[in-house]
Amino acid sequence: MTVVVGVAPNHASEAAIHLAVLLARSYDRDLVVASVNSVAWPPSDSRVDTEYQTFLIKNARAAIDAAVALIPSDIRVRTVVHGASSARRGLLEVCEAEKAVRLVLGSASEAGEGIRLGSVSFGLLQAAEIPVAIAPHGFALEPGARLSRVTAAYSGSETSAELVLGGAAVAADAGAGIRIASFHTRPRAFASAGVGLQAEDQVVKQWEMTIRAHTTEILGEIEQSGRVPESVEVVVGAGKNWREALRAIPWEGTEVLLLGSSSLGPLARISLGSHAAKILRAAPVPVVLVPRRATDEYLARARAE
Amino acid sequence: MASSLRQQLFRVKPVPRDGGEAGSQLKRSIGLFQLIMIGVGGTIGTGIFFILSEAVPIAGPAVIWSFVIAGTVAGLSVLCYAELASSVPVSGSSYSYAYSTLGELPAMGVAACLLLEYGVSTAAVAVGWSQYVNQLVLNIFGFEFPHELLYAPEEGGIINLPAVILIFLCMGLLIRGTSQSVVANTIMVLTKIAVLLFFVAVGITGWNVDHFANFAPFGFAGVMTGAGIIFFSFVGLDAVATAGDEAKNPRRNLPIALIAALIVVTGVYVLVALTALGAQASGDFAGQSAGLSAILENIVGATWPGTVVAAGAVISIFSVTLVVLYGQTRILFAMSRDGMAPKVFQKVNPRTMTPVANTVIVSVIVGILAGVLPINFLAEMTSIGTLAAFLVVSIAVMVLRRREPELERKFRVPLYPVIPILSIIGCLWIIKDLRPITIFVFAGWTALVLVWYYFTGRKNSVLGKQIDTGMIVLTGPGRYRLASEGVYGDLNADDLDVDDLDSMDLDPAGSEPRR
Repeated sequence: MTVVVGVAPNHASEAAIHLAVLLARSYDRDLVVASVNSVAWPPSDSRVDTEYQTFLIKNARAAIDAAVALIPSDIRVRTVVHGASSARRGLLEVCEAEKAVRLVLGSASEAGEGIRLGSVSFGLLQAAEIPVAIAPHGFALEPGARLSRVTAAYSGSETSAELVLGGAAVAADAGAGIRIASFHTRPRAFASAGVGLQAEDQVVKQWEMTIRAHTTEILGEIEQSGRVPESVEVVVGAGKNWREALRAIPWEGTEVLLLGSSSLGPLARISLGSHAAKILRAAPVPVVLVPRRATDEYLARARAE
Repeated sequence: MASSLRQQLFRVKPVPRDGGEAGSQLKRSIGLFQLIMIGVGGTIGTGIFFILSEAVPIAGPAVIWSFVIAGTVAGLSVLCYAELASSVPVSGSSYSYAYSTLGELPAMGVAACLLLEYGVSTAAVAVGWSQYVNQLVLNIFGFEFPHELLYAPEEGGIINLPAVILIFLCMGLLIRGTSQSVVANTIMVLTKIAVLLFFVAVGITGWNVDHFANFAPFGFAGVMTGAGIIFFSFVGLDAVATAGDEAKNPRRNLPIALIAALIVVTGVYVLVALTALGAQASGDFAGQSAGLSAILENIVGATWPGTVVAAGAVISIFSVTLVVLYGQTRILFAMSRDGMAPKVFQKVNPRTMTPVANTVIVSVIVGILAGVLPINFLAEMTSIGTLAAFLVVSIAVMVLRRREPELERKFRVPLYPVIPILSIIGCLWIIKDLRPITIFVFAGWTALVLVWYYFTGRKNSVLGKQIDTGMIVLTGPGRYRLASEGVYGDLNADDLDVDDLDSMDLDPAGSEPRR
């Protein structure tokens, strides 16, 4: 069981390495630093192709070396250069071979806050069957830091409730706390409905009460399960937009946000719902995206123990 | 501490004195121009697309005066509305205002009016929409809906299917989330204004002064009846009034915005009506569906201008249905929170953040109304609901001035008490000219709601429970105050809500509430 972090040749995301270290240390797993280089297709022995392959492998090695240099000595590290027809396929193959529990990636864009998905990471989300952790640009770690809290985003759906329960088990494994967070952007009211521009306030208030009632039930279930996290709490973040809503609640430097998959997506894989995609873009901390099958497994673990 | 029946019927919800409800984040952010746009956008399009063919046969070309009279009366009432909105900063429309000023029973009366106004106007607008959809489909695809699926049973059909479909489309959008609906609405409001200007530009080319020869065939009575039918075309103006708590410099901007919006709206209505009347003899309006579209087709002799208008009408009437349906669900929501409507209306779906059950129930009922009732009956029912609600608001302004003279009012009705009194007279005057059947049905409906209130709402009243548990104390005839300022503050905080009363021990013997 390992944590796999993907590094792109010529572009080793420091944030991704820091996140991978945090997760590997907290879950007490080996860290596998993987770089994927493209294989010739069809495989040929021609001289030119061999030269190009050598160049690619050299690049990949350099990226891995740069990444390994960032990893503290208390983490057990292995490195892999894997040839595949695409970066996406290659990383998935490494995850399978290394029995990965998490795949860690960096944010695509270096501009602005939050997380931007590049084509490779977006493709990986569609195909991955294990949780994928993505670090926002600039994420950095204090020496020896461990995961302090897992915040599970709760949308009110059943899948989302299961994610929270699963997240609690994962948080307990890492000796971290769990926090259930719901977010809302205050819907603008219809100007011409004649019921006043504040009509939506009451609906939002009722929504908050419903969410708090649901999450209290979930907290009860967490407390009854064998593995209780360090701390449990419920928060609601509200704002005019998603960025404000996410920043309305406090975040710790060693915290991850757990986001579930859209219930409309394929069973095993991650597909982002419209809200999840917006939360991801505004996330101030690393985000762990959990496919639905992994949610089920989390849940089974939480209930079995 | 059980209260007497009289106390129960006229118990008044305390007026929040801190200037707003907790959680409101839109403080004084709406400027004058935006206010005018709220009024114009909210009003135009409700009736003008199809009301002419209902009002012209009754008023003749003098329908222009019907528009002016309806607009003036609406304007007077809306000024009263603005004062209440700025002094009773709660959402929920005139129902909430009545609850905070006149008492629970009058509030239920207003609620009956509002339910009628909103529910029925959604149906009325949807029925008008179906005429334009039919016209559009005919122009584009050469296919017409069968008569049976386009008209109410009284008009020789079975069900107005497009109207029912529209209601359910709006229901879907509202359930999905308010944000999306608001964006869709803005686009549609702009479309409808553009389409009306297009109608005027093309329609004016067919001007024929002879069409105005027999100006008022049924005299002043006809004009007034026309005004009654048209009245609901001005309902959107109250949106300006309800923005009172969030408007910048409300004392100056609200009346200016109201009057400006009223002038713009009445101007556009009169312009469209003049163009339509100039282009088509008043005798031809009777029974004409998709009127504006048909007029342009007759003038130009081609279907394309009619198609443009029909397409615009289809889009814009869609937005009106959406907005009014939304209003209906939010009023029921407010009532449900007060214990005046079943609890199901306040259930918010945690995933979509919208009151789903509420929206579905309202849509099914409105869908049935739209499917089986004829349009002119629906339009009249809407008008009487609106008129009655405006009437109560005008009375409430005067009651509140007497009862709470020291209450801070961000906007005061000018020329008080002339305007409230004129508004009351105007409303009554228009009501008396509505058809007797409309008044009977209205009275019956209101009575039904009041009976329901007597047997159910009165006992479930959240305010009543607060009084019985001592959270609110009696301070004078019909007036209650929260037991202490501290409790009052907590009541508006997120951690304690009136719903928490459900979990309290409501011991009739009057023991202290347990928390």
